[in-house]
Amino acid sequence: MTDATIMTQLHARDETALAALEQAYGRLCRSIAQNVLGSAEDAEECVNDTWLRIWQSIPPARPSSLSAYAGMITRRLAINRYHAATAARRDARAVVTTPYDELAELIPADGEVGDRLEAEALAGAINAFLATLKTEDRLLFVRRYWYLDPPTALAAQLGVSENTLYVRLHRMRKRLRAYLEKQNLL
Amino acid sequence: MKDRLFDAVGMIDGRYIDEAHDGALAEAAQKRRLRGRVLLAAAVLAAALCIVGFAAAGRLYFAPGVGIVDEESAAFPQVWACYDEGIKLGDAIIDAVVLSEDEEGYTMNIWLYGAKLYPEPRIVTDEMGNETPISDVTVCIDGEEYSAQGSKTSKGVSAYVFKCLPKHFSPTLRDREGNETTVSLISIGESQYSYIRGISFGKDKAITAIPLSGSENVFTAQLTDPLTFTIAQETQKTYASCTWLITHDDGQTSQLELSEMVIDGKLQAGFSGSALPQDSRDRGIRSLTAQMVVVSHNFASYNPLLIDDPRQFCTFNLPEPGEGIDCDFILYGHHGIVCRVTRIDYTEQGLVYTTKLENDSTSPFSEEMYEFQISAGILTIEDGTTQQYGLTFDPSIGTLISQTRDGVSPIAPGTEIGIYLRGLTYAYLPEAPAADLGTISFK
Repeated sequence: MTDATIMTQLHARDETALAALEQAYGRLCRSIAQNVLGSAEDAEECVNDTWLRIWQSIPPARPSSLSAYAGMITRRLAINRYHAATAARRDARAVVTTPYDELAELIPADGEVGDRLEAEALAGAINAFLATLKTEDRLLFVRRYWYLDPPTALAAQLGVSENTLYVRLHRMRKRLRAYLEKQNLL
Repeated sequence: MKDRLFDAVGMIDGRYIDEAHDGALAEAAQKRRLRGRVLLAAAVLAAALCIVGFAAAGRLYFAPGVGIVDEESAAFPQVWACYDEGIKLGDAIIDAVVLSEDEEGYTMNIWLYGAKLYPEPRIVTDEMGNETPISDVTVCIDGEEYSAQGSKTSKGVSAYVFKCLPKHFSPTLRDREGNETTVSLISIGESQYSYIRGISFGKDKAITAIPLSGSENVFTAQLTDPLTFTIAQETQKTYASCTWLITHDDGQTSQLELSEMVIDGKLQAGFSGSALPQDSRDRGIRSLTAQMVVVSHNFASYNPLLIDDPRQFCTFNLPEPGEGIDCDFILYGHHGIVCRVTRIDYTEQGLVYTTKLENDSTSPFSEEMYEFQISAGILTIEDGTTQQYGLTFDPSIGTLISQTRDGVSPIAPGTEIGIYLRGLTYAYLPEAPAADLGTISFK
């Protein structure tokens, strides 16, 4: 089923759209949620919440890419759930750096510039930054920070060690920071 | 703010999301590796395999416009090659076919990726009853079939060498199952980038860029750094990467990234081929600057408890939350580099290891030229358990810190643990304006 058909169903308040969403993007959203939460059960709940959010937001929203829209909502829900869970449990299980933490290192310690930023402006700058990257680097960035793929999987796909992967990601983040600073966004 | 940046990445353009579908990254990496193999096979390996007895004379490169060269003198001025991507011979992918002229006539080197391997050679019996072994891949020229005089397969790449062939630019390759593919060889001797460029800096360090393809402006590179190679012999893996900033004749700049050199304990270095960005092609180069070189030594992915002679392995009892202990563990002390742990604190941030990297009097390092990072690992050794945990370098506080959540360590206070060096990463800063950098020159 195409995005256009699903959108039409959503606007018509046709509940079969939810099944269509599950079929089209369930795997994608489940993967993202699993990468953040590390729990299949939590990921399942997160994905169900995603369908609910989409149902509530469309209409009036008309996203140009339903996959990107669904993924964005899943990421947001998953990270919120992650924060809530770790705050409640003081969770010590994670010995890996999360993509969230990696991006956070770009932010100045004082945080004062953050208030004047809008996510949309940042997203526009990040889009422009991505356009400057070589295809493989761009794919890596998106897979790590949008799809939230774990380093082990990315290193295997690239045929490199995790150490090399971290060096490469670190360099990309430095370039992103330099780019955002040049745009006066950091 | 952190959430906002995370959200911003979540809002990136849908076309980038779609572009990065499942499998896209692996596909891109595979394409790059294949491309790197093609170019390296066609250039460096061609020289290494073709020139028996010549290798001792010095480093051999393929330089468009010059041919295969030994340093600056042309050893093989005439080279024809085919490295079109994706051409197949049966199920195998043809990496490269290179024809070169030498004193004995013409030699052809063929590299296949994924060629089928047979346990026994193919035997052909002629009319007189003589049996002759024939290589699994042969070359057909003007109706004659030629067998390889040597072949070797490593990591999925099979190399075949055919000597004393007639000069021919449309050879047909044939595999053992009778599959045939005809390739077209073209001269690869003409290019405006027909030279080797080198950047030297410091006392004994250099990076030499070797253009591999004039038509596509693709480079490989070789790093000269005795210290890196010396340390690499003691490590499991060593990686290096560098970025060159290129200023063109018209003042525009572009970058050439060379990365993922794997030394693997041997004094050999081979950067994968990297192409200049599309918009930098067909333009002259005014200057070339090595922007940064990062060398990452990986010492230990092994368990120090399980080997007979761990290099340096220190043990202590983990302090209670809010407490700390002074210590002086040397994690690494070779080649003028001394890496110490001087204190361990159990803080709200987690386990903080105060580390110090020093240069002794024999160190070749100049602190102005390098930035260092250390990574280490800890492992529990009570009850014979060997659970390992990583420690990462936190540049904001200049120490190693355990990877914990909300200040809670996965290891209980009082546990006897071991600490060992996992990695040492240093970055050259050759473009930094320091007097010690030496002269940046071009060969």
